[in-house]
Amino acid sequence: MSQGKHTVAWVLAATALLWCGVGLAAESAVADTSIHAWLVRVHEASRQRAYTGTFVVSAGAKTASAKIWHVCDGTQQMERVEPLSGQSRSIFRRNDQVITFFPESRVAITEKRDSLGLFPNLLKSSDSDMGAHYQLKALGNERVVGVEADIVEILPKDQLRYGYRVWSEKRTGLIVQLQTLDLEGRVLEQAAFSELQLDAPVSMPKLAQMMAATDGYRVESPEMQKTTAEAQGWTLRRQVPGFKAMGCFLRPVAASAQGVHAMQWMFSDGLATVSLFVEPFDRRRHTREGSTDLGGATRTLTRHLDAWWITAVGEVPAATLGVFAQTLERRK
Amino acid sequence: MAHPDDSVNDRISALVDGQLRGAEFSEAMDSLASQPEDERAWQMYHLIGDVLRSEELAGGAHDRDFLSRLEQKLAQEPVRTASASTRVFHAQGTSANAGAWRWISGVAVTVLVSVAGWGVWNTTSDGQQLASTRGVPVIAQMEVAAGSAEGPVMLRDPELDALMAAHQQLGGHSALQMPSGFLRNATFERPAR
Repeated sequence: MSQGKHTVAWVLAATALLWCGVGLAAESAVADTSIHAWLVRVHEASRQRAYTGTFVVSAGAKTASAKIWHVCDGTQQMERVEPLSGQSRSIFRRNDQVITFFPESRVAITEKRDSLGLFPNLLKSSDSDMGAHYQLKALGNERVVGVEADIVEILPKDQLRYGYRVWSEKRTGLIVQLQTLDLEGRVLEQAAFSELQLDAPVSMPKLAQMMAATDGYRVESPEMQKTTAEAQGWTLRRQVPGFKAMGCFLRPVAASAQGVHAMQWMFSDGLATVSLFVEPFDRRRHTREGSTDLGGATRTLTRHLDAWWITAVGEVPAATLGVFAQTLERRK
Repeated sequence: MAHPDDSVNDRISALVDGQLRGAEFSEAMDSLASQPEDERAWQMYHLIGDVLRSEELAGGAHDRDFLSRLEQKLAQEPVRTASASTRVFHAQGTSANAGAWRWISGVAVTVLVSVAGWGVWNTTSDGQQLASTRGVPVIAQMEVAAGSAEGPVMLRDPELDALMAAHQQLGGHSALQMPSGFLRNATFERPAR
């Protein structure tokens, strides 16, 4: 019966090794302070510098590019983005204020993006535990778009999030290239400057003037209402590891009758974001349950739960969206 | 819409739930051993089930590495094993080597099943945990054709696109989103406004 013994031995060995694997994964954060320091530096970089360039995003088979103007006077940041592909539009940002001009329809959409101001606070707060879920690894340096860049990898410590490979300009830390990596280390998406001029003469008053030039445009704001998941009757049975709730809104469902709203509940682990949308189930429209991969880093997953239709969207693996969708619960 | 992946998910979810017997079980195991998409679905179901039970189980990234290392080790093993079992296999009138390989693949399957079993059955007193794992198979991987090298074969769902746009519009919670994420989302076309 030596075969049987061998089998038992193998299974035992395998189980023991597996436990070691689990132990490794649970190892505590070593790069906690360095990932934090690195992120602060990267964030500061965008505040200090003025630059212009061409920014290219490749996700799946899709590529888009835009001309960028960025300026900061130490307190205020302004940005102008002129996409070179897709529907014609110009986007201006002053800190968390964003306006998008659609010249063909003569419509301008103004938004206040609270989230844009959240990040520095997130970094400052002591409960930021990014180091518990990611580790930072220096990969040396390389010359890209005419600048010397440091390369770092920010790798997940579990299977619930993607990794990132980041090229940041050596002196300032400005991110010049960013890749999102799947669990096997393959590139899912890349955002990079294809051309960059640092310390370019960008005029803040001129950008401000262009941003305010709404004459001849119908100015609209998206109908969004701040709320809480609790007020909408929803809760998460347990926290998804590393992800904290960041805000909740009600927004109209475009494809539906007047007055039907979807809840958008947002979560972040500091690097990746997930939105949970909940709307009333509609038999005609909500037919496809499951996950969708459109290429790129953004995944979606839908689930029918009683009278509701849940859509989870995020730059995370499908399993993570599955955990969110399964953990969402109607409060009794 | 019927999708080829639906059958993969049905089969794997039935396997995960322990509903397959006999030939169906063998076929599913063969397929799991040879088809990457089966393995991905298998991993996904177990990861979801694991995380729903305990967040400490999210760190299973080593499982696959471990299994592939184990497979390599097993592949290096047969010489010794074959000699130890030579008589048995000769008596069966088959090549010693072939027998050993069958034996080893049997072990590999046993190990896989034991690993899986550990994942599925290592529950505490909470009886609901298994039920929650069973609830998981609603997740069917429906990869809408996109991202193919041949060009944009887009079977896109405009409602899903609108939600993706809404997500990205507010997706500024990431440390890397400042400023790259804003630029990324501003650059990438917003399908609806």
